[in-house]
Amino acid sequence: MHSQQLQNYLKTALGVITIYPLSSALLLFLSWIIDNQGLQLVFDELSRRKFILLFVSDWLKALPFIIILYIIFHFLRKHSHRIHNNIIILCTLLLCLFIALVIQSQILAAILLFTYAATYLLSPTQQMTSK
Amino acid sequence: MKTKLIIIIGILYSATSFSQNQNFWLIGGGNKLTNSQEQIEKNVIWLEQILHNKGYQNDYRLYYGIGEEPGDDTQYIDTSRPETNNLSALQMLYSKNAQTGISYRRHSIIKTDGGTEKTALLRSLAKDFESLPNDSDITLIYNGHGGHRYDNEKENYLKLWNDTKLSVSELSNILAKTPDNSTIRFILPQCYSGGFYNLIKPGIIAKNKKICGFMSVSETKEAEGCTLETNSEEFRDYTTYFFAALVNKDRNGENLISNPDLNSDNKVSYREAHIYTLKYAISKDISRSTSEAYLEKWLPWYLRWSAIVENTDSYYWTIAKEIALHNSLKTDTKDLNSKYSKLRASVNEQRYQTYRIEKKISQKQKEIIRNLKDMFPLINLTLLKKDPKKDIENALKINTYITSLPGYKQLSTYSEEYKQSRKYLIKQERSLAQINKVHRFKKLSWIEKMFLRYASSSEIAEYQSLLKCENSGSM
Repeated sequence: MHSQQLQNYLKTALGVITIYPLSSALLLFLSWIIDNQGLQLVFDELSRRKFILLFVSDWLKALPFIIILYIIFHFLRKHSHRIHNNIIILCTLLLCLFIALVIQSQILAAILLFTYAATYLLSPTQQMTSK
Repeated sequence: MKTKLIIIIGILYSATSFSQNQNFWLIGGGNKLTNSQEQIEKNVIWLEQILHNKGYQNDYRLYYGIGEEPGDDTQYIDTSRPETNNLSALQMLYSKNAQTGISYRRHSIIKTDGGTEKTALLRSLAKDFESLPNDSDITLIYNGHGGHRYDNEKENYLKLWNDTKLSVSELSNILAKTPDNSTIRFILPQCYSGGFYNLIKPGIIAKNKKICGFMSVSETKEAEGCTLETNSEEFRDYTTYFFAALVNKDRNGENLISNPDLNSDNKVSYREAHIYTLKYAISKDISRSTSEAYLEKWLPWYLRWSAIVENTDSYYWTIAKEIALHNSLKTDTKDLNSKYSKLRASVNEQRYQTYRIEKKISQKQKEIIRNLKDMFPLINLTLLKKDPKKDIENALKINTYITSLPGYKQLSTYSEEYKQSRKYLIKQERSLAQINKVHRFKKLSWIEKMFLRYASSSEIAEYQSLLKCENSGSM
C-alpha cells in the first residue's frame, strides 16, 4: 500500500515536471506547421548553453503555476460527482482559447491543456468510487 | 495602454532638448600588434575629425593603443614596400591563412591622451571623470576588439593594449566615478558588445545618474570590422554608419541614402543615427540600443514561446518594414522563414568550404616548413618567422627557395581560394542578418505591445527613461 502511494506520488511529480517541456514542444511544432518557423530563427542570437539556461529558468518559473493548476484540477475532478466532468473540460477549453487569443500567451494555454490531461491520467475521479 | 503608447511615440518624435556641456571619450586600437588593424585606426581618426568639425576640439579625450610611448601599434597591408614583396613567400608560409603584405607601423594619430593598457587607462579615466562638474554629459566611444566570456556573458570585455581585458563590471566601476546627475552614453561597435547592456542594470550605476547606449551585436556574436580591409568603401562596421548618420554625410563625404533626422528638428540624435544604421547598414551586425534590449530582456516566461502577432502601431514595425523594403524582402513570416532556411543552409555550407580551405592552407604550410627544416638545418627559422629583417640574407635565400617549390604554387592558389570563399561567406552572412533584423523588429513591435499591457509602471518608467536618454544624445 505504502509503495503504491509512493509510486502514485512519483508519477504525479513526473507528470507535473514534463508539462512545461511538452507545452513548449507543442507550440514549436505548431509554429513550424503554420509559419515554417524553426527554433533557429527565434533564438538565432542565443548560444546553445544560453538557450538551455533560459529554458530551465522559464521551466522553474512555470512550475509553481503548474502545481497550483494541478491541485485545482485534482480537487475539481475529485469532486466531479457534484460538478460534471464535461463542464470542467468545456470550461478548460474556453479558458485556453481566452488565454491564447486575448492574453496572447499560447504557452499558458498549452500548460492549461496539458495540466488537465495530466490530472485526467493521474488522478481518478470520485465518480467511480462514490455511491 | 493607448496613453502609454502615445507617450512613447511622443518621446520618439518630439524635438528633443540636447545637452550642451558634452564630453567625449574615444578609446581605440587593438589588443596586440598582430590584432590592431588599420581599419580601427582609420575609424578613430575619422571620429576625431568629426569631433573637431563639430567644435568639440577641447571636449574630448583620446586613448589609443600604445599612446605616446615609442613603438608600433598598427597592422596594415602594404604591397608597395620592396622588402615586403621580396619576402612575400616567407610571409605566406608563416601567416594565418597565408596572407601576404602584412606590415606594422606606429599609429598616425597626431596626439593621444595616453595608451589603452588597462591599468593606465583606468587611472586616466578615473582622473578624467573625477575632474568633471556635476550634470556632465559623457559619451564613451570605443573602437577596437571585444572578447566573449563563454561562462558568463554579462562579463564580456574590451580587449585593450598589451592583451589586457576590461570587463563590464570593471567598466561600470570606473563609470561610477562620474559626478552626480551625469548622463552617460556608450557606443560600442566591438564583437560581443551586447554583454555591455548590463551596464544599465540597477545598482551598478548610482540612481541619480542616467545611462544608456548602443551596441553593434548581441553578447554572443562577432561584429563587422575586424579585417585588414583598406578600401574605406568596404568598411561596414557599426561606427561607419552611426557617425555618418550623425553628421549626415558618409565617411567619403557622400550624401546618405535618406535623411536620418526623423523628427525634422535639424539635429540627428544618437537614437536617430542608430535607427538609420539599422535600416541601411548592409552588414552582418544586428545592432541594438539599450531600450530595445530592455524590452527583450523583460519578456516574461509566459509570453516567450508565443506566436508573434503583427503590431503595426509600433515604430519597431515601421523599422522592420523599411529594412524589408530596402533589402527586397517581405515582412510576411512564412516568406521570411523560407528565405532564412535556404540562406542559413547556404551559409553553413560556405562556412564548411572556407574551413576546408583553411585546413588545406595549414597542411601545406606545415609541409613546406618541414621541407625547409630538412633543406636548411642550420638556419634559425623561428627567428626568420619573428623578424626576417634581422637575417635578411637568409630570409631572401629561403624566400627564393620557397617560390621554386611546387607546393608554393598550390599554397598561393589556396590563399586566393580562401579570400574568395571568405568574401562570399561574408556577403551571405550580411544577407542573413537582414532577414534576422526584419524578424527581430517584428518581434520587438509585438513585445512592445505586450510590455505596455503587462509591464509594471516602474518598468514602463525605466523604458521611457532609456528612450529619453538615447534620444537626447547628439553631437
